[in-house]
Order: sequence, then structure tokens, then C-alpha cells
Amino acid sequence: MKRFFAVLLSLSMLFSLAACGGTKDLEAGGGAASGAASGSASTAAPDADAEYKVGVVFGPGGLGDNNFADMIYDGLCRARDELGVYFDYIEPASDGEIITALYEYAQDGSYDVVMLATSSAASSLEEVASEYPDQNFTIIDTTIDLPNMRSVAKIGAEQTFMAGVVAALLTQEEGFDGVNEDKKIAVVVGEDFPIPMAMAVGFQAGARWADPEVECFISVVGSFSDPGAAKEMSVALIKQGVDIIQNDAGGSGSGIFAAAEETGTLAIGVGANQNTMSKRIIGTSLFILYQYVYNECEALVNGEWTPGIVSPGLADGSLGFVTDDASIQIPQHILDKAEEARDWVVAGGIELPSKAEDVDAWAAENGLA
Amino acid sequence: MMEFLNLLGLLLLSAIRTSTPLILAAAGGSVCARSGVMAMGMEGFMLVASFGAAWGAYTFQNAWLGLLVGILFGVFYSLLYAVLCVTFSMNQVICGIGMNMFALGFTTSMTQIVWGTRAYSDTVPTLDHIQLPLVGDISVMVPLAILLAVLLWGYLFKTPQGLHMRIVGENPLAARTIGINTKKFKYLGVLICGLLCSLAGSFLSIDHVNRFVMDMTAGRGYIAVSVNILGRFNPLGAIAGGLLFGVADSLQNVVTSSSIPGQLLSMVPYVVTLLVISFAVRYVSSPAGMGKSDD
Repeated sequence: MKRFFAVLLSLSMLFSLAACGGTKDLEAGGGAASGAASGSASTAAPDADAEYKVGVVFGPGGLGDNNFADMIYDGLCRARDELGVYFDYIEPASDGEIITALYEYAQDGSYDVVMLATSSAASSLEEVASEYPDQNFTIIDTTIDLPNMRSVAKIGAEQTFMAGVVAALLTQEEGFDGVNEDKKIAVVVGEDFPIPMAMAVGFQAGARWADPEVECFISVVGSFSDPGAAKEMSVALIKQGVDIIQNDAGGSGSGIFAAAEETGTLAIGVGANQNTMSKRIIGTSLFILYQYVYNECEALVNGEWTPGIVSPGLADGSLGFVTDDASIQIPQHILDKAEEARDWVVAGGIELPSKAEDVDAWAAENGLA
Repeated sequence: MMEFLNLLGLLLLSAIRTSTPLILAAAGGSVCARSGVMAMGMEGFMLVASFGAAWGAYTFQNAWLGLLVGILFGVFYSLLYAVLCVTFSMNQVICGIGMNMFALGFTTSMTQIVWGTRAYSDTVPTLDHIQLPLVGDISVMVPLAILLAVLLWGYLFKTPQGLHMRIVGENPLAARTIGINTKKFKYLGVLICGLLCSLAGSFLSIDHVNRFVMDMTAGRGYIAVSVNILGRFNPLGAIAGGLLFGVADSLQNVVTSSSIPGQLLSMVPYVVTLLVISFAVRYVSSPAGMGKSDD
């Protein structure tokens, strides 16, 4: 009987671990994309004889996340409608199934590009891509260095940099609704993965740029689908004097917004425009991903597709800070300052830090106190 | 010193909120286990109820009606589990895990149908909070969880009915020979578990947070299984076990990762689980008839 319970307990632990590792999309999202119906594999256009074919493998989170995967789907749909590119997609149920899906498209041989829309199974793609050197591949959200591979990986830190500036200045704005006297802001991260962490650090760097005295906390939820834990974390931060929290927690992010609503503090969205998700959101650290997917297809059609690395960033306008449709209007002089910060990064070719321990060195290097 | 006390207070309050769904589910699970049915389906009961509660609250724009719908969903789902496991003597571990998986698929699809995206629902009304001395503004579910756990303890250990239920859980054959309707008690145990898991699930979607999110129980139903064992299949033990896991979980909420590496803090709940397996479980004896079929 004892052994039975030991097994049961380890089972329960395993499942809770597995549950934590569920959705690995890097941002939560607003309403940019169309939520497609779930299904394991699907054909998205009737015209299978189209000249250009793309095979897309999504992450285990699949479509309908209102964010990462849906933005990619949105970009593909635009490419289909405007460029006549045909695409198939597979939504694997787990990381382990991704490699099967990749082999399926690679073996088929009729796809011009096989695209992997998640960073969580990059090693699988590396394996498949080495085995099929004549097949072109694209990975989104991380980089792989292979002669037949194109990588689209945003510069995570640049996505939240402007928001960091805005938050650091707004937290000192006296009498602004929801702002307290403490110079403390925070970012709540879903899981300790490289890109989400880079985004958190970018937020810190932005705050440092605006005012070195502002304290910026980083908290890690440990799950992209646990809003309850994210809310607890946010409330704890708020009770310690934080008044503005940047969402960097995927599906857990709604917990941050709930905490802001309950305590009357402020929050910043991430990914697709989240400004309408809550009355306490002042803006979103935007990432316009669909444009990149569209560009991929366009390059394919124009015969310009080449292996290599593409890095969406502040410079090309695919990352930034938007306040459209937000219920709370922040003062213009703060927005101006954020624009100034962006120009500083873009014009100076400044490379932002992507690890928390590098922020101090980065600040010193760039003449920030 | 002041700051430390402040942090300690924060930690305790956070731990109480975090442990509330665990206490509710584990207390329900202990009744279920005492009646001889393994409470493996709690994750599913909670998830279905938390969807039901959000859907009800959204449809009627009233959180209390939402809670009612959540309870209906959760109890009906647990009834299904009881029919499969008690009436049809299905393997309870397989049935429980199957029902948990089905719950995830069902709630995700329903979220897609109702709100057009499977990631999360729209915002829904939430239950009113109450004011308590010392702790201040707090969810009504917190005192309710403690109250229900105490009531269930009283039922199990202080009433003849409860004694009968425990006999059913220990030895169904002996129970039948003295004229106890074993199936009735097993159904009752599972339904009580379903009711408490429904409250736990509703707490997540219409009390703690104001929307349903895909897979929002995030393994709490499985942790409740561990809490249940740790609490020696006793509702009062569920309170203590739930609080222990709540504190372990809350550490990472309160202590920001700038002071201690976040990975260390995220480890704490699992280390606690490991310690529980290695040291506490060996002293726990489970109801002898648990997991076995009647016939």
C-alpha cells in the first residue's frame, strides 16, 4: 500500500509539473487575430495546386491563444488572400509530437518552406533540417544556425524597453490615478525562458534609462496558464509598493490585470494589443508578428527567400508601445520621453541587455547612472 | 523588523488564498476516499466547475448564479465519475485521469464556442468579498472552506452515518453483511467531493480571478490528491496540508526573484512534495477498501 501511495504521489507531482509546462507561448494577447477552430491537422485553402506551399507546425499551445500562434495564422491568411500562397498546418498536442509533424512535411517534399512556430522544440527542428538539406525551413522565436534555415527571432528586450521608460516616469507622476508615492515598478514573467526573461530585462533597462532611482522587480510565475498564481504574485508586489506591472506571462497575464483592477493600480499588456482587456491597462508592449510571417511568404513568392537570421526590433517598427483604445490616458510628455528613448536605441544602435545581471554593466557602458 | 513582519503578513494572507482551493478539494477528496473511491478526478471536477461558473456568471451577469451553475456542472461531472466507477466498477485511476483529460478538452472547446477564442473568456462578475477582523477584505470562500472541512470532519468521525461510510471504505463486504447500502455511500462520497471541488473551481474563475483561462486549475487537483494523503484522509488534515502547500507556493509570490533566484523558489512546492513522499506518507494508512470494486 505504501508503494502504491508513493507511485500515486509521484504521479500527482508529475502531472502538476506537466501542467506547469503546458502553454509555452511567449506572450498573451488581445484581439489581433482570428481564433481558428481547433483540430490536429488542417488545410487552409482549397487550392492545393498553388505555386507556393508552406507547411506550418504550431507549438502545443496551438491556435486560439489570441496571440502568438493566432498572429502567425493571421499573417498566413493574409499571404493566402493577397499572394495566393497555400498553407497547411498541424497543431501537435505535445512537444514530442512536433518532430513527427516536421518529418511529415519534410518527407512530403512538396512544401517550399516548412515553418516551426515555437521555440520549445528547436532541437527537433535541428535534427529534421539536418536530415533534409534540400528542404527550406523557418523557425520563429529562436535562432538555429543551419544553411537551409531562416530564423525570425525578435529582440525581446526591445519589446518592453519603451514600456519601462513609461512606467518609470509614470510611477513618479504625483496625483495620477493609481500611482502611489513609492518609486517601484515590476514585471511578472510566465516562465524563466530566454525571450520572456529578455523582455523583463528590457523593461528594467527602460526604467534605468528613465530614472536610475526607480526600483524594478522581476517575479516569475512558473507557468503560462496560471492566472491565480500570477494574481497572488501581483498583489504581493503591489502590497510592497509597486504600482505599475508589465505583463510578460502569457495566459497567466489576466491575473495581473485582475490584481490591478482590485487594487486600483496600473498594468501594461504585451504582444498583440491588449489595451481593451482591462480598465486598468495604460498601454501594450506591442509585437507585430503577422507582418513577418507575411514578409516570409512574400519573399518566397518574389524568389528572395534566403537562409539567415531576421530580428524584428524597435528599428523596423515591429516592436513598440501602443496606447490605442486604452481606458487610461497617460500624459503626453511621458509618451514623448518614450519616443526619445526609442530613438536613442535605434539611432545609437544600442544593444539592450538580455540578462538581469548584465543591466548594471550595460547602464555603466552607456553612461546611465 | 517592521518590513519583515510586513512580509510575513503578506506571506500568510497569500498562503491562505492559495490554499483555499486546495483545502476545499482535499477535504472533498478525503470524504470520497473514506467511502472507498479514489479521488483521482478532482482536477477534472474543478476545471469543469470553474468553466461552468465563469459561463454562468457571464450569461446571467451575476456571480452567485455563476457559482450555482459551476456547482451544477461540477456535481454532474462527479456523478458521471460515480456512475462509471461505482456502478460499472471501472478502474478508478484510469477513469479519473481520463475524466481529467476530457475536462481539459471539453472546457477548452466550450471556451472557443462561447467566447471565440480558446485562450481565455471575457471578464465575468466576481463574488463579493467580506470584511473579517484582523485579515480585512477576504473572499467568502476562505471561511467557507474551513467551515466545510470542519463540518465534514464532524460528519465522518462523529456521526453514525459517517461511521457507516468509513466501514464501506474499509471493507465493503463487511458493510454489506451488516445491511449497509455500500453503493449509496460511495455515491454520496463522490458527490460531496464533486461539490467541494466545484467550490474550489469556482473560486478560481469567479472569485480569485475574473475570467476562465484554459487549464486554469494548473495541476491543483493533483496537488489536492497529495494534500489528501498528507492530511491522512481527514478533512481537518486537509486544512493543515493545504496550508503547508499554500505557504510553499506563496514564498515565490512574496519574495521577488531579485533577492533569491526564482528557480530556487519555484522548486519549493516540489521539494515539499518530495519530503512528504519520503517522510510523511509512510505513517499514513489509507482506507483498506479504497480503489477496489464492490463486487
